[in-house]
Order: sequence, then structure tokens, then C-alpha cells
Amino acid sequence: MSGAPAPLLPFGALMLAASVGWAQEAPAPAPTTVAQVEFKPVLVEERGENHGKDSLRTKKTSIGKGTQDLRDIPQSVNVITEKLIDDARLDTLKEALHYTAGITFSATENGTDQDIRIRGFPAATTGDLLIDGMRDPSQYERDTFNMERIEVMRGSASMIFGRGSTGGVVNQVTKKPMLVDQMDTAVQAGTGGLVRGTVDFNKRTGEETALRLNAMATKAGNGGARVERNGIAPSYSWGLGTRNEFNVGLFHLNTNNVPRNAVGYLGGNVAPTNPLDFYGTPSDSMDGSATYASAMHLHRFAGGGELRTQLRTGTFKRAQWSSVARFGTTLGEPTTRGNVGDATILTRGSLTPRKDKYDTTMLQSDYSNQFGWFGLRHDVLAGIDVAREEAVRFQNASWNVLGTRPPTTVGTPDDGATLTGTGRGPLYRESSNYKGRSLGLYAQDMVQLSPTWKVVGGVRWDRFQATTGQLTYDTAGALTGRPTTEVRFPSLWSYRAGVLYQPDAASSYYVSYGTSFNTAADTYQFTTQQNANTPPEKSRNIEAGAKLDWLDGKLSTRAAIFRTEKFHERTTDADFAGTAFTLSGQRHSAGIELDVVGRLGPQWEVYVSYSFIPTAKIDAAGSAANAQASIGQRVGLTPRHTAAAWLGYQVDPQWRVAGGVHGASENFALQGSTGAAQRTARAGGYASVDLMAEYKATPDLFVQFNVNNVANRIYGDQLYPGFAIQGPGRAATVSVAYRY
Amino acid sequence: MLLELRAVLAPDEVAAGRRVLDAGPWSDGRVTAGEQAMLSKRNEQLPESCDAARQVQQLVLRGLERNAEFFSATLPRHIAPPLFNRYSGETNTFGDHVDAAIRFLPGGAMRVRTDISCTLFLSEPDEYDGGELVVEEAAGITRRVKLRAGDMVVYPGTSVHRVEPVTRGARVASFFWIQSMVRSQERRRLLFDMDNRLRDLRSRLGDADPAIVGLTGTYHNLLRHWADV
Repeated sequence: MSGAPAPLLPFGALMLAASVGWAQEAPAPAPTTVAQVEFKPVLVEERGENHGKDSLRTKKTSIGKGTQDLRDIPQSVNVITEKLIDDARLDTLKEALHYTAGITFSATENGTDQDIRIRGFPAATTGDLLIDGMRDPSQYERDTFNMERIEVMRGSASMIFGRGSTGGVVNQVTKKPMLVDQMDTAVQAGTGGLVRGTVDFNKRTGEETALRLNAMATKAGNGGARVERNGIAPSYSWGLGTRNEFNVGLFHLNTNNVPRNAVGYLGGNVAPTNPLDFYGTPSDSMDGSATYASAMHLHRFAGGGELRTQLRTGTFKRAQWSSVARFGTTLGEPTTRGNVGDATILTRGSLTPRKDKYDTTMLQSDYSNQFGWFGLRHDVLAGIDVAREEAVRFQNASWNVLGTRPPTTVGTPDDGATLTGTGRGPLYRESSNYKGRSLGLYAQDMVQLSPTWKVVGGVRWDRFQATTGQLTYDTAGALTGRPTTEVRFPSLWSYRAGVLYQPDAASSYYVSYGTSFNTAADTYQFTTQQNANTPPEKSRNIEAGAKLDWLDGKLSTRAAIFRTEKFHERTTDADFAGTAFTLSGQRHSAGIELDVVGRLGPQWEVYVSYSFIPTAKIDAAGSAANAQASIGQRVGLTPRHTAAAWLGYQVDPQWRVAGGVHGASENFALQGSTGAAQRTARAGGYASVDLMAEYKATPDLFVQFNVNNVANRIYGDQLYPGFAIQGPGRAATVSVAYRY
Repeated sequence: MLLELRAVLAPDEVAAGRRVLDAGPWSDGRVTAGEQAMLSKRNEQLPESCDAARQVQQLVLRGLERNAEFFSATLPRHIAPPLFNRYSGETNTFGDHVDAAIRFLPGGAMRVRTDISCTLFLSEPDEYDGGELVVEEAAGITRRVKLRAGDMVVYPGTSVHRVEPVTRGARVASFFWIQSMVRSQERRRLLFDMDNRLRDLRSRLGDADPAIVGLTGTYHNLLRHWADV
């Protein structure tokens, strides 16, 4: 070495300068973050990250109860932030879930968010969809206007959530007041006569109090499949950032839609009709609402622990009656994919009218803290949840003969047909009801055995009891009976265990095992005594994965390899005559999931979610002929590949462009009651492309252009044995947003 | 302890920063004042999240990052995003006040305790008349500070201070707060002194000298004792 010695640095500087990291910002939209200085090896935290308006990525999640780092959860988790919701114009939960891999939709009486499948297992809409960690029981069309982010945890997780969660859970995290003045208001206009307005207003009202108001109104014509949704969600917090934080909020959402019609398969595949054409009738309807009040108290203990208590009480409703169009003849000949055209006759059937109403009250208290027992660090998570849930289901009264839907032709969509006959709409009367109470207690400990190794163990105890009732009527409509069934499960246990290896702040590897259970009536259905006497179905999930951060923590990659199995499945054999069903059914799915999310340098943002499920098989079934025939078959609604990606590029301070694609390989509906893939018709693989460009006219004013499903790709989005509901056709929107 | 740090930003950086700031969307500074300060605050500020502010923030942070004396004196734990103000014309003064103890950052995600206040001058002293920063170091003892563009002054957040009226020209500056790992001023001062004296000794005796090794250990042990990280 030659030359003058370098000047000596002070220790304070030596120690700190090396570990400093100023959070680099994108040129335009990200918030100011705090430059933090910490000792190595702690990575500088990028504050504001959880402010999902500005980032596709989040490091923290609340899906595991309490707030945890994603890297400490030994299960596959995928998070869709508000930024992706805004960028890709994902106005409903269903649209948003298309951007998370491994999720498919069934079509039942018509497409709300019904019957979602994760890893090939039902995520019962009446148990596995959550709002802030508490069940969101109905099947209404959920709007994303009040969502901060959507978290999907895959795999069995009854230890955290109680009954259900075989394939996983979907948690909708609502927006909460913040100590800042912020306004984000947007109006949109688009094809199909779409008009939508949203307001997200946050006002800091004092040193530690704030008010947030979100509101939304949406209307669309969609060539006959009308949408009308509006919602409002005020929320007030006090004690923000102090020892005791409180929040109270109200939420109301109302939808009155004419839903998209289902279409029969043609030539063993999804019908080639234009997804922009509507073949239902103006009498079709899909109404829904959610109204609830919530209260939250968060106590922060001096040592860093938290006790979070939430109460929510509300009513959720939906009612729907809609059409299925099936192919008749074409110029007197049977219709084929070769001759289908404007002259093709479509006969229209009516799907069963459905109506239900849920009243639920839930109280949940979650405690998290760190302890130094026996010289080791323990992260303890424990809690209790109590729920009172009531459901009433309605059916059309038997003496109200419903009108029939007249036929139409492919060339005359949205013909405004009126029903033939007298019954213009369903006359609903109560058909069954449910009243249940549940109590759950859980505790989990994560022990840091060494600087790099952690072990997790958790256990949960549930008590579940319900009374389900059925109402029987004679032909004149007089009530003739109210048989009831008592469902009692006094003690149910769920477990989770895992090992985490975290060699440094940027990587975490895990292996985990978790269980889940499904009891009779766990989705608020009337159930028979035989069913009530049957022990709960049991599932387990074994998984290994890695969560790695790159580029100074700006990019996260997560990979998991899993096997999820239902190893005790109810078998309801036709020839069965006992006091309880057997649990001789078994099925499993196995595969991998990959997520990549974050920044690739200051101008590029990326989000990728991919799932590959090579195996999804029925392993054992009951003795009925159709059940026996299903053994060895692939499970329905489980494509081998599902994927979604979104890539954003900041061209200059004014222009940002982004594009995404979501799709799946070949998919099949369920065959009858067995759950096996039907073999008579399929939905071919597809990829649907979405594009976006955003122009920042002034620092506060944004104009955003979107085209979703650019190629007007025809694909089967929701599948049923006899018909499918196509994915939405091409839609273009322009939005003007004002944010400060 | 009031400390003046020279040339935190180089002249060309100051010029670049000023070009961006002068074109920025300035507005009344009372939006960030606490209730009492509101009455005495007469200046202009840049909105904290505007692009101009963000760009120059990065410039300021990079300047701090390479300034060893700054780290040694402040032992920062959190640095609030730098803000910018301008005193000129009608909005030309900020009377005696103490900064709010806690600074809440945008997004509500984070709070910074204002242990240390910093002012980085971005106008040359001959560009304006008046505008001195007057800091009360102890009862009745005040320091008047007016530095060259690119220089910075660091003083305890607990002091009463004011900005004298600007009677000509414009005084542009960046100001921000630091939450230190060491909360107490006296302790920070002791550590800073020790660090400086040790540097002197190390340059003469070398880092391997047993006494230096021992004293270095003492510095770190004191820091261990006093620091919250």
C-alpha cells in the first residue's frame, strides 16, 4: 500500500455508517420512508411498506393472528395489496383472487364468490373467508373498496382459525384510520356503461385520533348483466400509537345485480359465445348485503407484547335467481362447434332460487408477546374466540309456480324477454335454519433455539354446538313440521408444528405440519342426525418451503412444496343404514407454489404467483358405485397449473405502465357428488391479459387507463357439471384519481 | 451541545438541490406546527411528500451518510424525513418555540422522538439579511447561527429557538429531527468527546495499543449501557 493513510473514522461512525440504509424510493408514487439506522445484522426496515397503496409487497401479515413477519409463518402465504387492486382494477374479491395462484371457482346457482377452491379443496365461503380474521359468512359479491390487502394462507390451519380451512383461508384486511391527512378519490368510466366512484378519506383529528371514511358506488350495464353496488365504511380510532388503541367502525355494502348467465358446454368444451353477450333475462337477480359494526382494542405491553380484542356483529344476506342457456338446434340440425352461429337456438333454464341470511356476533382476543424463558427467546401467541352464529335459508314456496324463461338465439343477446307463466319471481319462505355457538382457545410458541433455528408448536381446542332445523310444508303452503337436529362436538383438537431455519435476515426455510377439521353443519347447513353423529372430517398439511429476500430486501421470493390430504372424509352412501356415516373417504393433493414480489430496481415492480399441482387424487371412497368409480380419478376444479403475474414500469416521473396475465391449464367441473373431475366436458387452458397505463398530471392528479382481458379471451371461469360461467370479456376503463 | 458540521453537501449538490426546491410547490408552514408554535410561525414549507421534497431528501440523506462526525455526535436511531422551509417576503420569521417532542410520520406507521434538531442551510449567508437561527443553549446564553450553504447545525431538541426575520432575500433550509440511540444529551456528549479523543490517540499510537483496545472497549461498554436499539 502506498500513499497517505486514510483518516481514521470515529467509532460511532464506523459502527453505524456501515449499517445504514436509506430506503431508496421509486421516482414517483411511493411514500416517504424513514431512513433508519440500526446495528447490523438487522436490516433497515422500510417503513410505509405496509401501506399497501404504494407497494405490491408487504413484509408483515396479520393472517396468523396478531402481527407477524411473513418469514415467521411456516406456511404458504400470498398477499394482494391495495396497490395491485388499484392497478389492475380488481373491484371485487373474486377478481382479486384471480391474481393468486391455486384458486378456482365453482358455479352453483350463480357466480358470487361461491365455492372457492384452494389446492383443490373447498374454501367454504361460509367459513374460510374472513374479514380481519373473523368469518365472513354469506355469498354476496364482495367489493374491494374497503380492503387494505387480501391475504391467502394455503394449507390446513385449524390451529389458528378453528373449523374449516382444509385448503386454506382468505383474509380481507379492512382499512383503518392513520395519523395522517390523506384523500384518495377516484371516478371511473368504462365499457359496458361502467361508472364507479370511490372515496378513501383519512383525517387526523388530533394528536392520537383519526377518522377514515371509505365509500363506493358502482353501476354498469354490461349488455344486460347489470351491476349496482354501493358501500360505505366509516371508522374512527383513538389512542393511535399509544399504549391503548381503540377503533370503532361500521360497514355497509349493498348489491343489486343481474348476474351473468351460465352457458351449457358445447362439444365437450366451454361454449364459444362472446363473453360480452348476455343471454339471461331482466328477471334474473343477485342481491346481497353485508352490514356490520366492529370494535377493536389493542393494548401494547411495555415489553413489546400486544393484546388485541375485536368484536364484530352483523347481518349478511343474499338472494339470487338466474338463467342457464343451453344449445338447441341450428337451422334444424344439432348444434356443433362447427355450425354454431347467430341462428343457433338457446333454450333457457332457471337455476334454483336461493336466499339466505346470516346473523353473526364474534369476539376474538389475541395475545402475542416475547419471553426469555429458560434462556431462550419465546414468541408466544395465544387467544380465545367466541362466536354466536345464526343462519336462515329460504326456498321458493312450492305453490308459487315460477315462470319459465323463453328460448332465444345466439344472434339476439339481451333480448329483454319476459317470463312465461304467472310466477314472476320467487316467493321465499324459510326452509331451514341454524343456530350455533362456538368457543376456541389456542396457544402457539415459537422458540428460538439458536440464532438460526426456531421451532413452532401450537395447539387449539374447539367446542362447537348447533341446532339445525328444517321446515316442512304441505302443498297448500301450511307448515307441517319442524324437525331439528342437535349437533354437539364438545372437544376438538387441532395442531401445528414446524421448524424454521433462518441463517440470515434475508432467508427463512421451514418445514411444517398442520391439521384441520370439518364438522357436520360447519357451513350453517341443516344436517341430518346421521350426519350430526358422525365425527368431524380430518385433514392435514405437510409442507416445506423457503422465503428469501433479495436486492437488499426489495424483492421477496417464496416457494413451498406441499401435500394436503383429507384423510377422514364423510362418505354418504346410498345403501347406508346406520346411526352415523363412516369416514372412509380420502383424497389428497400435492404440488408446489411460487411467489415473487417486490422491486427490480427503482423503476420495475413485479408480482408473480404460480401453483403447480401435478397430483390431486381421490384415494378412497364409500361403497356406492359412483364413489367406487371415482377412486384414482383426478379431483375436479384443480388445474395442474394456475398462474398470475403483474409487472409495472415507471417510464418517467409522469408515466407508469403495467401489465398482467392470469390463467390456468385445462380445468374440469366436479362430477356429481364425488368430487372427481367430470370427464364429459372440460374448460380449456387460458391466459387473460390485463394492461394499464397511468399518467400523473400533477403531483396529486392521476389518470389511469385499463384494458382487462385484452383479447376478449373466452374461458370457463366457474364450472359446473352441466354448464360454465365464462370469465368476463374485454373491458376498458379510464379513471381519474385525486390523491394527496 | 450545539455542533456545526461543515460541507455536509458539496457546492454542486447545493446548487442541484436548490434548482429542484426553487421550482417546488411551496405553501404556508403552519401545517406542521404544534398549537403554540402555530402562533409564531411565519414561513413557507414544501409538502413533505411532493416530488421536489423527495428528490432533495435523498440528496440530504446521502450527504449525512458520508459524514462521520454526524454519526459520532448524534448516534441516530431514526432520522425523520428531512423537510424544507423558506423565509422571505411576508412569511419571514419563526418566533421562540420548542419543537414538538414527538414527530408523527406520514402513514401513521412510525413516530420519532425529537432528541436532536438539525438545520441544513441551503442559501449562502450573503443571499439574505437576518434569518439567523437563535438557539438558547442554557438560561440566558444564546447562540446565533448563520452558516454557509451546505453546512449544518445540530442542537438538542429541548432548546428554545427562533429564526430572526429575514429582511432581504430568501433563506432556504432543510430541517429535520433525529431520535438518538442515546436519549440523554449529557451522555451523548460524553460519548462524542471520548470518540474524538480516542481518534486522536489512535492516530498516534495505532489501534493495536493495549490502552486503546481497553478504552475502545470502554466506549462500547458505555454505549451498550446507554443505548436503546
